[in-house]
Amino acid sequence: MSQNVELDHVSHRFDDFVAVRDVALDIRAGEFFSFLGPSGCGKTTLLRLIAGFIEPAAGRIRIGGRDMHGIGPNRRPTAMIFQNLALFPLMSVADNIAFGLEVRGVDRTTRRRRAEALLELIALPGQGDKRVAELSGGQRQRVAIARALAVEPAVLLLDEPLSALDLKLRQHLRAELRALQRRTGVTFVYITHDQGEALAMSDRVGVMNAGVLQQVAAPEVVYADPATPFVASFVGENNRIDGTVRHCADGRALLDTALGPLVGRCPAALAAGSRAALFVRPERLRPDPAGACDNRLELRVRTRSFEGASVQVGAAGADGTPLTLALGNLGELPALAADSALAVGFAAADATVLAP
Amino acid sequence: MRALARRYGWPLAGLIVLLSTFWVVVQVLLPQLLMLDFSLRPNLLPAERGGAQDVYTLANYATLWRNPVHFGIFVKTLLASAAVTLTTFVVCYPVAFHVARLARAGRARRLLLLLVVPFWINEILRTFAWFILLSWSGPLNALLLALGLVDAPVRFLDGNAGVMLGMVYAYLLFMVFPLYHAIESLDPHQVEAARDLGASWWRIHWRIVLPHAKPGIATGCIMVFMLAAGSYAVPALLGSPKSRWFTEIIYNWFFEGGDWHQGAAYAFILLLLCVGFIVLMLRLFRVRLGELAR
Amino acid sequence: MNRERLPRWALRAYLLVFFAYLFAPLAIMAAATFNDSRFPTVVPWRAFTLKWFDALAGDAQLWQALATSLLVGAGVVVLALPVGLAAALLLAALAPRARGFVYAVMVSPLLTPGVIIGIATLIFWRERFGLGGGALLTVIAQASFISAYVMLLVQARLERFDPSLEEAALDLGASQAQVLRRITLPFLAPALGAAAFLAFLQSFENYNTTLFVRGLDTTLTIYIASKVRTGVTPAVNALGLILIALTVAGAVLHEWRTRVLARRRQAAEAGG
Repeated sequence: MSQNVELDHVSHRFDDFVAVRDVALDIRAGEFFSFLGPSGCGKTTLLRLIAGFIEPAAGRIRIGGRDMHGIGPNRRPTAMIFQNLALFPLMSVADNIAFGLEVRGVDRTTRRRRAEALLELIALPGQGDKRVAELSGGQRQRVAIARALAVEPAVLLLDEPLSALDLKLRQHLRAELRALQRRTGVTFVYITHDQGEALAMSDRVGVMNAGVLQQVAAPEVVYADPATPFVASFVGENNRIDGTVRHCADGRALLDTALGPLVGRCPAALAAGSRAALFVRPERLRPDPAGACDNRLELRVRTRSFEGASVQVGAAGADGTPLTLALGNLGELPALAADSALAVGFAAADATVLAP
Repeated sequence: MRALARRYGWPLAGLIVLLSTFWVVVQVLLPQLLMLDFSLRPNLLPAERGGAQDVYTLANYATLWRNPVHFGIFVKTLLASAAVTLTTFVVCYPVAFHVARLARAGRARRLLLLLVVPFWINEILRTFAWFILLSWSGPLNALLLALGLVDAPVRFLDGNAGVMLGMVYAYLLFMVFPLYHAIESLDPHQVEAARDLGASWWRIHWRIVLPHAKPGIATGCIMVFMLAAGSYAVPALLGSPKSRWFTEIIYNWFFEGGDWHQGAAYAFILLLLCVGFIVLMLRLFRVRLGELAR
Repeated sequence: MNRERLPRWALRAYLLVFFAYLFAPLAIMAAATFNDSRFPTVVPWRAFTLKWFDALAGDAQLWQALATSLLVGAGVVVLALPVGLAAALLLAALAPRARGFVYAVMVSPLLTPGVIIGIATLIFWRERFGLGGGALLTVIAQASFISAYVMLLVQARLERFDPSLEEAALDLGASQAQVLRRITLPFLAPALGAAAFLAFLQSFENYNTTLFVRGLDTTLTIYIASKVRTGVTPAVNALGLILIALTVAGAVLHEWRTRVLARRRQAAEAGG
């Protein structure tokens, strides 16, 4: 039975450092939810608040509608996968997995059976008698997951569990975690600083910075419609062009910039004359010698790097504003000599204008 | 307490605090305080206690000052303990340096084991071994006679020399290990760099090794001085009435003189002596108490 | 010969003399056990004998003293082990500033002469609780500084403990008592084993503190010392030899175990 997690204006501070600032959010039952943010943004604190290792300084946490105030981590319907996994080194793999059942007083044969079933689930059948030290990194990872699932939690909390693994294994385990979540239907709360992980696995992503929840949305939305400049530049590559608002109406803003007047969508109303930043993704910029797009930029090529599936072009406007283009490798690639002139354009719908 | 309770729960946290408090307060602090209180009161008959005469006085401390024999023994204990400490350091330093720096890993391990083994043996037995060695008809006298160095056996067990010899032997290892651990943590490249720059061997020790080993030296000296000044077994076994130690006087106040208040004052003076030595060492070597290696 | 170093032979000679100095007295004491002389010595060598071992067997006082020592040692282990463990756990939970002060108080008994610990304990318990010298007071007095050894050993191991293991167990539903029993204590077990061994040995060997608090009870160490002072015979050597053999065996075993554990830990870390 999966349950929802309700964060009701939760704040937490360590001495005079505010780690989590007034976070209000409802993580739905059965959802794969990721908190994404740089290290020190408060996401680990948030996870530990949900797990019950620390009590919030203000606000309430409800899991499945039940107020968790004063309820210790051992009596919450959550289970956590630790960053370093925290497998018990003195116990066998099976004893690790069955630990949660053991402390609940489940008898030995049932424990053994459950551990065996979970070992099947994580594709390590018959490995229960091994010592933890004998397992590889990926195997330990899966044992940690099995150990957490053994107690049939309503919510599984994952604290950057893939960060210690190498790239190949990480990508493989991403898919496995996602499949596992689908199969078990347990609510997953995942924290990571790796946007690739967050975007690939999650139903919804919460982007955090400096203790503040910046935006909560589906990965596609976070990427396409960032709510704040932080989200725009933290999630994926982005080009930022600063300017002054000339006018803003009907969800569109016209900005005066050093590269000329530019039009983009504006999710929130902006006052004329105020400073604003326009964000446009590298892959949304395209060569536009004919001037067919809503916006047009005259640039000079600085660098060009071939990356197989695409070509990354570093360019700059007349005032030196740096911009990046990602041109898909669709067979014919323009020859872009350094310092050659390059006219690019983009659609107004592909650009977002945000208050800085 | 809150952190403890969160980690272990209230009942266990309570037990942990209770046990720790029992130890620190009831076993360590209160007895010392009562000893101090005791030392400041006169020795009275039970009927007189709490009466008009039962007032705080420094009389028990003045006794030491007024009694030239006791005062002489106190000063001798202090000087002899300092001499034992210095001798122990001089004897141990080359060994600690060798094991820590020069010996290859396997050899160093074997040497360490050789050093550890006598460390485990009862102090009384180690002292007893010297009792046999130094006795009037013992092997050392036999050797000296055979070599013709003396004409008649020497009474080693009659003076301070035997006591100090025994102490150096008994407390040596409390110096070797702190020195070893301190020197071992020195980056060998520092010694090589100094040698490369043309420093002579004694300069390397004086300017590089010794300064680095300061916490170890302080620890070793504090341990040896404390053990020597507070030793009862060695002077009792290897000494004679002519070479009494301060601890023996304290013992006599308790179990022969029957004046516990006087004994407590002497014990407190011994404690002050040791605390004074610790402070001196920490100042001298500019080490903080927390840095003292074990 | 290198001008910048002491010649190698000088150092070697010094080491040789040093270790001879360390072991010769013990060897002579051991040898004297087997000399058929009324006084323990190796010169003149009269005849080889084992009779001093027999003399030991018939010494009722000795067996009584041994029983007292074993009792006191067991008492010290029972008292100092939980106290030292609790103290180490408490220290780990304290804020850094308080920790420094409490730590200093806790290790202070190790920097205090044993006679003073004995005297202070004797005065305190007699004056406040009417408890005079004896085996019980000996246990209390010895434990007051032996607990510090236990605390230091446990603390050293606790420093390598990963606190997320405790959190993980708690998170999986274990009560705090279960966490302590299933996670923390098993991790500390090797240190506790070593501490128990050390505590017993320290108690067994103790002389200075015991001297003041023993009352009419005599421990083996006190008995040996009194024998040396009044009418010593090679029976004391025989006893010493047996104790040394036991101690050395215990010490070697202890050192060996420490090494094996260290190696296993290194191997585990290298594997992980």
